[in-house]
This record gives sequence, C-alpha cells and structure tokens, in this order.
Amino acid sequence: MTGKQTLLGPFSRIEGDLEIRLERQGNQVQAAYITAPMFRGFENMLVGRDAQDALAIAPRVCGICSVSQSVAARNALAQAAGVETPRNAQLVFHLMQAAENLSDLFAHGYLYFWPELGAQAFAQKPWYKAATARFAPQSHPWLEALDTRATILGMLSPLAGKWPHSISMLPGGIAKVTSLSERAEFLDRLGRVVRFLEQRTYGGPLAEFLALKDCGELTQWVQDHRESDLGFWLNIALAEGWERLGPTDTAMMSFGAYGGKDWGGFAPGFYQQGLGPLKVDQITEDLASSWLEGPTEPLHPSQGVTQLGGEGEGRYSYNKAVRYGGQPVSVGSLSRQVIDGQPLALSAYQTWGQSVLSRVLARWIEVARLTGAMKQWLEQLDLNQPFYAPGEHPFKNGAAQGLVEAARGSLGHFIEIQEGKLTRYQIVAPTSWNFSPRDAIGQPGPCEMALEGLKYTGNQPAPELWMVVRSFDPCMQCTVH
Amino acid sequence: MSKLLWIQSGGCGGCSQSLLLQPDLMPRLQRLGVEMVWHPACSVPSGPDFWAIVDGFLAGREPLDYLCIEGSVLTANGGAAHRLSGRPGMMSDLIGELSQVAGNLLAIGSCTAFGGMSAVGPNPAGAMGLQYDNKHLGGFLGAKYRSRSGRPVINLAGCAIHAGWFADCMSFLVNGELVLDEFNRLNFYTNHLVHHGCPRNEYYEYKSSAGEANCMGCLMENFGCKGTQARGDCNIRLWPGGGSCLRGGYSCIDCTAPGFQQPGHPFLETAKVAGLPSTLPTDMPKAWFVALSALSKAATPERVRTNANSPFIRVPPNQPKKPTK
Repeated sequence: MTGKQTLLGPFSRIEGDLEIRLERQGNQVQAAYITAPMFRGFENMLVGRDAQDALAIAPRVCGICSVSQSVAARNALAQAAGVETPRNAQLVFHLMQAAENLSDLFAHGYLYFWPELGAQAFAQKPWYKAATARFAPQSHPWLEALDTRATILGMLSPLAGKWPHSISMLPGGIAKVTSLSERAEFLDRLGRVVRFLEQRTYGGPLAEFLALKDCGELTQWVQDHRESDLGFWLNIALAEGWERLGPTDTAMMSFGAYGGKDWGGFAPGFYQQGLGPLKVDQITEDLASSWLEGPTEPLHPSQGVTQLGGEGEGRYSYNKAVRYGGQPVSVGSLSRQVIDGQPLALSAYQTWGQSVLSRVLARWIEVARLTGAMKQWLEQLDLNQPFYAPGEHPFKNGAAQGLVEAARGSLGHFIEIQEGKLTRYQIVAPTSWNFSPRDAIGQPGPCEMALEGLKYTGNQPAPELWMVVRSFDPCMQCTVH
Repeated sequence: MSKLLWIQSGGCGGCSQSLLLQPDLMPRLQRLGVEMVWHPACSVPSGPDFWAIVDGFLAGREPLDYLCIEGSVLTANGGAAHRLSGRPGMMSDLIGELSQVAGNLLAIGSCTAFGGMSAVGPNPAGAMGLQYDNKHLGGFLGAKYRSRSGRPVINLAGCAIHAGWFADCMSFLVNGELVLDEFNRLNFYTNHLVHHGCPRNEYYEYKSSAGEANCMGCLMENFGCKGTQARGDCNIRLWPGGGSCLRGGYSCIDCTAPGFQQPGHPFLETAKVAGLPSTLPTDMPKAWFVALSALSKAATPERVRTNANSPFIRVPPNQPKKPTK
C-alpha cells in the first residue's frame, strides 16, 4: 500500500453509480481505481429465453442508450436469422440511433458537463458567475436546453413509439412504415434543434464550425464566438489549460456507425499511431479485478461468462477488464471522429492528445455532423418501398453478433442460439472500455490513467478531477448490465 | 418548500431519462412548493456534498418529505450487489434507513415497485420491489411498512414511467387527492386499459388481426399484445412526441403489471388456451367474446380486412365503388 487513500463518490450528472479510490504520492494522484459498485446480471437473465425476447429485454439494459441496445440486439438476431434488412429499415435505424445519440451528446454538454463550472470549488474563478448564470441546473437557460433535448427525443416517437424501451426494431426491419406526415414532422423537429444549436450552442452556422480544419482555426473561432455556449466553454478551457487535462494515450476504436462511409456515417477502425482495420476477434475480457467468478484467462466475449462472486484482494469492480489485443482502448466521439478522419478532431488529437477538451470538442463536432446526416437519411427514405422483410425468420443455431456505436462508444452484443433459445448473451458496453479496471497484468483502464498525475489542493484532489471523469460521459448502468 | 430526494438503485436509469422529457416538470414542482434537493441527473453536489445532504435527512436535521427510489433493491450477496459509493456499506441498507424518515416513499418504475425487468428469470442480483416481490405484498420493506404520512409505498409502475404520471402524482400528493389501486399503483392511470385510445381499435372491433409483425391490424391474436388487459393510459396520455407502443407498431407487454417480465411465453407471441388467445379481455365471458367475434368477422368491411394485413392504408374509407362491368 502506498500513500494516503481518498474515496470519492457518488458522482452526480453521470449515468449510474461510480466510486473512485485514489492513492496519493507527494502532491499528486499516483493511482486511481474505478469501481462500478452495482451488479445487475442481464446477461444471465437472457440465457434460456426465447431468442426474440432479447428485443424486449435487451433495451432495458440501459435507459439512456436504449435504442442502441435494441439495434445491437436486432442486428445480432438478424444475423442469426440470415435475414436481409430492407434499405428503408436501415435508414430508419440510422435515424433512430442518430436521434438518441444526438440527445445524449447534447445532454452531456448541457445537463452533465457544463453545470460543473458552477461547483463551489470554482467560486473564486473569474468566470464562475457567468458560467453559473449560463449553465446552472433548473435555471431558465437549462430548462430551454432540456426542452431542446425533448424535441430531439420527440423525433423518435413516430419510429419507436415510446422512448426509452421500444420494440419497433425487429430482425426483419422496422415494425411500421414512416408516413409522409411523420417525415415532415421529423424534419421540422430537426430544424428546431438546428436553430437552437446555431443560436445558443455554436453562435453561428453549423457548416461554418464544421469547416474548421485545425486547432489554429478553432482558436480563432473561439475568439469570435465567445457568446455562444460552446465558445464560452472553450474559451475557459483554453485559458485553464484543460486541453492538457485528463490525458490518456491509449489506442482508440470504433465499430463504425450508421452503416459507415457508404451511408454517410462514420467509418470503423482501430487507431494506434495511425489507422488500421478493426479486428473484432482481438477483443477480450478478463476478471482479474472483478467481483465476478469464472475462468482466469482473458476470453473473447463470444466465450464470456458473468457470474457473481470473486471476492478478495485486488478486486474492486463489477466491470470486467476489456482489452483489444491485450491493450486498454478508449471509445466514444473522439475515437469515432479521429478514426473517421474528421479534420478538426484529428488536429485536436494530434495537438492536445486525448484530453478533457478534445473529448468534449469531438462531441460537438459529432452533433453538428449528425444533424446534416439525419436530413440526408430522411430524404433518402423511399416511402413506397418496404420497411420490413415479411415471412418467417427462424434462427440458425450458433453464434452471432450485433455491433453498434452508442453515443459513448462501441457497444457489442455477442449471442449464441440453440433451437431458438439464447444459450449465451454477452454485452460489452462503451463504459466497459473507458472505465475498465486493471487487467490481469495490472494495466489500468483509460479513465484510471487519465486521473494519474492529477494534483492535490490541500488534502483533496484538485476539483478538476470531477471534470476529467465527466469528460468521458460514463454510463455505469450499461457497464454493469 | 417541502424536500424531495431521488436515489437510484437496481435499474437502467430510464425512468429518470423519461422524467427529463417533461421540461415543465421542474417549474411545476416549484409551483407545488416541492424542492428537488438532489437528483442524480439534475444536481451539482457530488461525493461529500451529497453525503451531507443524505446525513441531514437521516439525522432529522431536515425533514425528508418525498423519497423517490428508482430501481429495485438488489439483495444478492447480502446487498453487496449494490455497494454505496464514497463510503462503505450497502445501498439496500441506505434505502432501509431513508425509508424510515421519509414522509412519502415513491417507487419509480416497475423495477422499484415489483422487481420488474431487473428480476428476470434467475434474478442473479436478487432484485426486489420496495413493498412487493412481483405480485406478493412484502418485498424489501415488508407488508407493514408505512411512511411518515401513513401511506404504503406509492407505486409508479411502468417501464419506463411516463413523466406525466410523476407530475400528476406530486400534484395529488400535495393536494391530498391521491388514490391507489390494488397494487398501490396510482389509480388515475391504472383505471384505464392500454386498449383505450388504441389507434388499432377498429381492427380489434372486427377481429382483423395483423398477419405480419409490421401490419396495421390488431396485435392481440398473433403478436402477444396485452392492451385489452394491461392497465395504463398510454394511448390517451401519449408519450413525449405523441407516441405509444401500439403507435410504434408493436405489442403492449403489460409493463405496469407485477411480474410482467415473466409472461410464460415469448413476449411477441400470443399464448393460446383451447385455441383462444390468452390475451382476451378478462372481464367479459369467453362465450360472448367468441359469439361477438364470429359476428364481427362476418361483418368486416373489405377495407378493414385489407388494411389489417398491410403496413399502410391500402383502402381508404368511403372509396367509391368501382362501376360494375
């Protein structure tokens, strides 16, 4: 045991429960241990059920990325059934995932991240008063943002029926057609969202922001847009040095989103000192630090088990240590945008690395890109063509997988079916990656690394710690599925 | 201002997400004189500041008027399935302690009320409702539990809850107008059937069933829809954006009911008893149902029969008859 320990938790304005234990050496954090303190057991609950029941149960893994869970489940089932998804259904799935992801990325800024500037610990900062007026929970501007979030999620209504927890996403396609009226209303909602974004968030046309090619141009943009919410925050962040705060130098991964480049979505890939192809067979999970029982060697999720147990020294989380080729990996908007080659995200990564600022910036790059892509997908819907492949879709025995990108990163459902029943269901969620505990050889997970070296103020870690953690936008619920 | 504290345990967080879909909720609470002292998604305090709030309530320094628990109590491994954050201990113990000082205790969502989706099958986390274990009164706090107001746990069942249910519940609590049903759910929404206001009612009337999952007909006969039995005003109140499960093209799975997670058949298939769907209305003699079905099937307009097996309206109403050759 080294140094003095600090125990931090719970964290408001994240999803779910989180505890962090810090070990101090001198005036800085020597080691951080991230605990997911809850166990839910969905993977075991799904085993033995009729395979179709995953459509109703899997979305309940997460009330935040419920649509992503549904699409991952239906993708796996569609693969097991060998059914071809009609083009319209693909487009609708892209629209649904984009709407949910857009709402999550937006909520990260307005509900979860920016209100942190109003924490008491920052009361002496010159920007504190202005930040509180702009971002305080339950204030008028906050309520306006909440209203825009509802407009975003309202787009899902004609496609999902209700949110969260819809069963409209089926192996054969989408359960209902999109009508002309529904498309018109969707477009109108999108227009209202873009108006809010241009007025409040970016303070100008989204296209102008997306045209920024590098950090130099961004810095100029910030000077010209300090009245916008994003400009206001970036201005503070650059002044405070948050472009270097919470660094990680892990590899990055994306399963690819919205069908990849061919559909106007984001490309899959693995990035480590350059872009390479994604190899899903490189993914393993081990239980060395988990309060879970099972084989000690790292296993691919298609072989994975999740059994409550495994107490004792060195175990500190219900999360598993997920690795790619044995290495910890960061997922989320920054990884997605870097892998997709978005110029500003790439420049931010090359200039500042993975940091609080680059993570947050990448989300707003993605928000701006998504609004444009959604408009295109809406226009590409051919309302006279099928949305569903009719007929029986019996499931073949064997393994299948559903890989999607939720707002927070790569989400995989790895399933196995025998005689129409689920015999294995393993889920690897975005925060499983980012908030992974130490693995069998002692490598910490990405957020654990990001906290190392953080300074102390008196006997407490610097208040920026809470910001570093929230810059990952953790969702513990789906982590502890 | 009376004080409200919101704590999450064994659930997906979806009820809070649903709550935030009603931007007018916070101002409405303020107008009702209720202060949301801490909610996981809407509050700045974390860590020690959070614990100071909780300790204030536990020590009675501040009366806790409304305690909202979102998520079932996880009892596996002596409660270790959900450990506290920032201090040692189990969430189940904290819920137990807070329940003793709560003026009213609200179970947010079916997980909290009955166990719900957190308690599927082998229930590995030992998920339990606050005062029910599925249909059985008792649950984590026991049948005799009463909050300081003398009320049992108020069950806002649903997966997820509708934000409007919570808003109305708070209004009725403040105004002393709350009425509970046989499972201590709020009667203002469980007095309705999901069937009420279902856009597929005409297909139901004529027993014109959808033959494929994407067709417009009634989903009761083939796709497991429980709308004629399930309690809820989902097709009257509608979900934000104007939807409902039926409007989204899929069956009601009765998510406000205790034990809905174990229907005993695949969710999207109708169990048949002696050839009849088990999803028939419960308060109507089966023989009458059969007789009415026979009549209505014989009387079904071609328009309804055709559209029931189509993903969109093929035959509009009052189509002029084609001239006979």
